[in-house]
Amino acid sequence: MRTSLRRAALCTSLVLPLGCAQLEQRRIDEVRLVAHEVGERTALAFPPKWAELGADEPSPPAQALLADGLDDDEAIRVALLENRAIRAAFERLGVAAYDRVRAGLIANPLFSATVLLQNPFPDIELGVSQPLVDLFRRSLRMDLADAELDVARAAVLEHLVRVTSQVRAATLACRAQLERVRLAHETAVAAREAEGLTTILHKAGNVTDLELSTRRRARTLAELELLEAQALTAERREDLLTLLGLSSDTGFELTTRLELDQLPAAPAADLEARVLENSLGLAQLDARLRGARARAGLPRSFNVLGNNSALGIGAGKDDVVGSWGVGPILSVPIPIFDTGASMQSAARAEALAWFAERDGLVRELASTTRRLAARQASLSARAALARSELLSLARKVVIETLQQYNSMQIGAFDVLHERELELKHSRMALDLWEDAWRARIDLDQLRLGARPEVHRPSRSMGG
Amino acid sequence: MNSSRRELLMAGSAALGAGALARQGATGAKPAYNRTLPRDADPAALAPGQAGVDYSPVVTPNGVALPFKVIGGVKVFHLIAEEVDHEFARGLRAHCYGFNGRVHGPTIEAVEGDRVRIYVTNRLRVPTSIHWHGLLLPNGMDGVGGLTQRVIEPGETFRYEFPLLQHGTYMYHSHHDEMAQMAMGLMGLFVIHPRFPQAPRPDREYAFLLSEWRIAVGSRRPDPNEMADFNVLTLNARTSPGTEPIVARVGERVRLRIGNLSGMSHHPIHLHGHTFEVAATDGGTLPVTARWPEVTALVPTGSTRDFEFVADNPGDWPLHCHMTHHVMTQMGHGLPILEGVDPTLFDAALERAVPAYAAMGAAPGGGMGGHGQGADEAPAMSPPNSLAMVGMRGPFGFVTMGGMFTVLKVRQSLPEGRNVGWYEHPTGTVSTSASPEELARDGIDA
Repeated sequence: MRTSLRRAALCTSLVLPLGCAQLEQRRIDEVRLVAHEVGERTALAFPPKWAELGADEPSPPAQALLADGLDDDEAIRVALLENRAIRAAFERLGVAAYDRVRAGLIANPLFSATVLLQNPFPDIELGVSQPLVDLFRRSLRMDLADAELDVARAAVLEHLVRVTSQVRAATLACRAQLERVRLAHETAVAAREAEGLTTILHKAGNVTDLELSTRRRARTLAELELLEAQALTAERREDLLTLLGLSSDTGFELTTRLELDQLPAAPAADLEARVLENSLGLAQLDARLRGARARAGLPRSFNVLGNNSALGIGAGKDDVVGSWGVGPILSVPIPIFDTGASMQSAARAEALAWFAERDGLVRELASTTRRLAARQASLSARAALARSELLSLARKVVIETLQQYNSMQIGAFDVLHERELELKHSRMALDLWEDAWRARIDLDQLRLGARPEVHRPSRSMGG
Repeated sequence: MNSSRRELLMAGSAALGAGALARQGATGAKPAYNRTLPRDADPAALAPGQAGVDYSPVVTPNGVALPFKVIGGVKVFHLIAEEVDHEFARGLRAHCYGFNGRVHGPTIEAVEGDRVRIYVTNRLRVPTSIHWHGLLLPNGMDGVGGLTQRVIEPGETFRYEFPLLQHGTYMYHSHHDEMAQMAMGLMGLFVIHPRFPQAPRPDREYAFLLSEWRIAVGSRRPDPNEMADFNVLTLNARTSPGTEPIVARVGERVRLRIGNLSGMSHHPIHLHGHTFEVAATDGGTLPVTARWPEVTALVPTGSTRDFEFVADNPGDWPLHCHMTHHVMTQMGHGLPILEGVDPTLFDAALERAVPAYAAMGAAPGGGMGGHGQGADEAPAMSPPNSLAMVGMRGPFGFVTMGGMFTVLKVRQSLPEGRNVGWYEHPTGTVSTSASPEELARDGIDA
């Protein structure tokens, strides 16, 4: 007996660590799989090591990136290192991986013991049983767990693709907002100069109180717009910091230049097909559908037997004679009321539901692709027109107004007014430019497999 | 006809004319200020007046006289009404209406008693007609489109023919859609010399036609709809610094024949350094005893005035309209009042607020004076084809006057040709800054 126990203990001490190691390897394999997929979809190298959870400071690799300033790709790398939501998503992937391992295991046998203390001998019953259907349902369990793991993997990928797009959009928003601050500052300068000149004229008695008050009001409005632009700059910066996973602003610089002459190229002609092919939402639904189909394909008897069936060996001590007896134990439900049909029908209905949802998502993806493609094309065309014609004409008007001023046909206020209009048109062009690139980011996110949030460009689209 | 017979005929006619005038005076009839011919004289009996013999041709500064032929005793002229690309001064051109390639039309010059036949060809794209302003002629020759004749359609040539029954300074101009066509420049001078001058001929005669235009700065066509804000004022369709100066030798008698066909404005014409007499209106020559002295005399729109004076004061003397806005070219009226403030503050403000301004460079000569050009590839300081606030260069700096402005140069002797330089002032006759000694001597606390 002792030898047996010792052997059992030895086996356990060997098997347990091996089992844990196997689980950890499974998790690592899943992470590698996702990292490879991320690289395939986004051309980004997945970081080799995450930051330590709970640390306030960014990890050394992130600090090195931040110190030199970030371009768009570097910002994404920092996010992959520091963003805790990404880390959480990967841990959840690990949960699914562990579940997959567990799904492949045979259920533990059940040992039962009952002791009734009575005279002259206690009534003792012992039993060891193994769930019966489990032996036959292991394959289904593994199929379902595989499906859940596919869902989890696709969800993590979708989350990663979404975060990379959000980081791109956030850096774009930060850079565009800085430019808006510059334009608002120059507008305020023009308004201040107009107020200054009017004040001088007013002191000399050359203009009315009304004219001075009107200029002061205009200057105040310009100052308000500047303050608003500066406040939005801080907000955009915080949005980026959140996505990068930084607990505080290290003052890093965004190094990607604001190339206002560059506009996104037209999307590929086969975009819709690629969106459907790469869709991680569809991949998740496909996995769920597989699982539902697997459940729906089970015979009814499997549904009836469920987990209540068991086969085992029992032993008992007779309380009168005091002798032991041993024999088989079998327990099965009798399918009188529940024949398993409802469970099967439910499984089929679930499969149909997933199928319908998948079908709907295909339509939605096609529509979203068309909408975003059309939006990007329209915004790009308008941004191009604004840059190529509107801005050059606005500048021409300023110069020709200056010529009229030099010819003493008009006053300085007319020039400053045209300058303010020129800046307003620059803001319009900037809004269109940013919205065109934002539409492109959304389109890229869709192409890489993740559905974007419905982004309504607030300024240029009349929002 | 030999000269002695001519002289005898002339003397006889003069006697007739003088007698006619005397008879008129004696009977109390109104004298004919614009006639030296008797009313019953037959102009056909008179030979066409000859330049240098019967009259001294007037000089139309920046202009020319309309040539003519004598056919059958009739002076035949040809006016061609057409679009002309006209230069008001260097730097300002516009598409105008004119005659024979010129704006304004050439001066028609003839002698009282001449019979004139004027062909008018219309090469404009619109109909026109020509009115002979102030002339006494048959009603059908008066040139009022729709009233006394049908209009001259584009491509047509009309004939006007009538005897000249008067002398004086007159004008001709469009009388169809005249607001627009006159605003575009379709006008000219018509000078008729007296057949029998009652007074010595002036030594020099200059003819000026005053007009006004609205040409938006940077544009190339006058605005015929303008009613009040004209910005280019001209002498013979030229604006200073594009006006040709007039000259006289000390002691010469000078006559200025001035007609005004400005659309809306009268012009008080002022001459520096001299007193002149208003010697004639478009109604006729004033008797010597009726003339009055002026230094500034109004020439109303639609009128002519002749001024006479003796150029007895050597120097460079401005001759200009004394409406101050009429001696500014293309002056803007949208400026804030800049009196009492430092105007450089405005340029400084623009340099801070408008990056394009700094690239333009500085204008020479200050705000008024010359146009400035920025550095290579920098935008020009002023709109193209503009002369806003540009004056002329004088011997002491910029003369901040443009528009209806010219100079009378009076010299002891005049060089050959017309190019008379600046007046060389005798020592001590030029105003300059007062020295401290002078101020102290005269007790001036500056």
